[in-house]
Amino acid sequence: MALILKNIVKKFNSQTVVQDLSLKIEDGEFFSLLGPSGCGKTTLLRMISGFETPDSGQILLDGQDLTPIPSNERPFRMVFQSYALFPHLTVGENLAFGLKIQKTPKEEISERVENALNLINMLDYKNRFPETLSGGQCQRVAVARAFINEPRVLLLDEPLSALDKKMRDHMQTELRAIQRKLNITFIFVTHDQDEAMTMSDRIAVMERGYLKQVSSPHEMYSSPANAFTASFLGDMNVFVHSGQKVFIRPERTLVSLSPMASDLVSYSGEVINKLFKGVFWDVYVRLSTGGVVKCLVDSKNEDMMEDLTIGKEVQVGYSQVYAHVFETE
Amino acid sequence: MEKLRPASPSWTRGVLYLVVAAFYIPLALMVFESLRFKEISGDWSFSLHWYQVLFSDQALMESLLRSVVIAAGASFIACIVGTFSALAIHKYRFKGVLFLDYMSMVSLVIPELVFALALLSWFAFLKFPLGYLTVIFSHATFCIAFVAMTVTARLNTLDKYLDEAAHDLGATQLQTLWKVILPVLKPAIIAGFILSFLLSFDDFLITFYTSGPGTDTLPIKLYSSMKIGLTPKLHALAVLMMVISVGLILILSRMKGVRELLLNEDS
Repeated sequence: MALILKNIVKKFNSQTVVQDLSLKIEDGEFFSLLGPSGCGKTTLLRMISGFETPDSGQILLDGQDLTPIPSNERPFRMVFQSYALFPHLTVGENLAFGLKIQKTPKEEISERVENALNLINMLDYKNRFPETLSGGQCQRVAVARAFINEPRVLLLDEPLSALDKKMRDHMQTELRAIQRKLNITFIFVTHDQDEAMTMSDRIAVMERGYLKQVSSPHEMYSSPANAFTASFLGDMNVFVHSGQKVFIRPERTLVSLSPMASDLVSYSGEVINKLFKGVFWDVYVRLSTGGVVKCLVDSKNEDMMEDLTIGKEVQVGYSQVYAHVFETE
Repeated sequence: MEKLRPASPSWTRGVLYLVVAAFYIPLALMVFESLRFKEISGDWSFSLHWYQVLFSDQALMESLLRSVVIAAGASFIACIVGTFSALAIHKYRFKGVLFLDYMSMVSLVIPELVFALALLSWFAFLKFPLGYLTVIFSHATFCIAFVAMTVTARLNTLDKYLDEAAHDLGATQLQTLWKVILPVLKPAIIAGFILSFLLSFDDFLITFYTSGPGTDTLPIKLYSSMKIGLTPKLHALAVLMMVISVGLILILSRMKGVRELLLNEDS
């Protein structure tokens, strides 16, 4: 029981947007498609929903090929980036739209609409029109309109990108909670790595139509498979050690005023900036070998931060244990 | 504190009053004349006499009815064709769509007389007898552009994924059209209808060329009566036409969703 994408290829004119992509998404998974804009993630989502047809390859749900099935007959529902709520219908009517099309009995419709509104905490808004709602409320209605039809898979196309930061953080938790309650598969398209990390069971990182890595957020962060995922998901410092690029996370990069222990790889450099971030200080150091790296220093380390003035000569180093080295592609 | 905008020089207000006066004095005079009834003795008084005369004029009332029927018919056709052409142009960015878009606007700028002549020769070429149908068809041609314009203005303000959303929720193409697209466009279509109605109702030149014997509309009737001489009855007729037009515009501007639409068009 799963959604399987098999060797999907999609071209627009002569440009290949999705390159021979294969993927298996398990039932009940919160799965994110992550990548910079133009990487093909939205196109992939639109192929799953049926709005685009792959040039070759198959989309299989429980072994059945969905490719010939039109979008209105697939057991998927989409949440659009712009929400696409029907402006002439109330919130309740928006939710009932799909059920009415399927000729669900009236009593059942009103019961399910109530339940859905309850789940998104918007019972009082049933008779309001979309134009009177805030962005976050529209977002919740759009999600409810999709899941009320009990789809096998819910497809979300950057649904949080139109919200302000605070609302976005709130909706991340809320969406995740809704997904757990409903226990349906969510496929979530985003270009925001923090969003993908916080919400997902697994993340697929895409770049220029290629699938770069598929794994859990933690695994992807701690052991990225290639240079692209390494620097796309979270921050990375790049050192050059014996002619090779070495990637180190800022929290694994040490900074010190005295020489480093001999088992560490160390460089000398000069503090060029320090930014207070609350729990940590971001300390930027320009290496004498060239390049700038970022180190995190615990704010509790007050004495050290006092000494770490801008322009100060410092030592920067890392342990080989945390070094990521990739074959050049 | 917010600074006040500098006041415009006082003479601009004078110009404004002059323009308004120049525009409204003739109209006011016309209304006045239509309401003035002169006794044989030379005294005069306000009365609705000329309106009574007007409404009891069988031929005039017939031409009024004809005008309404033609305006309604032409607007109806224009609404159907205009709405679907706007939808097609908006949705499908096929090659030459811009050309088509411009072409549909040509009827707005082409000299009316040229258009009237073209239509007349077209009907002659087709050997189509001039009458009700030719007038309705001719009026519909120039009304289509106006309907397409109001509908396009509305389409531009809409979420472009509405149809996909409906489709995704299980609706077929036809259900999407009936349950989402047309209801959402309704204010724009009604606005287009009223605009078309007014244009058709007022039209003189094209009607003059394309109407056959016995299909005189109100403006044609007014014109031919004017040649005989200005009478208070004609003033009453003109006031009646003005009231119908202004009344429709008032309805239009009060309709929900239409006001925003007309404002949008300005920007």
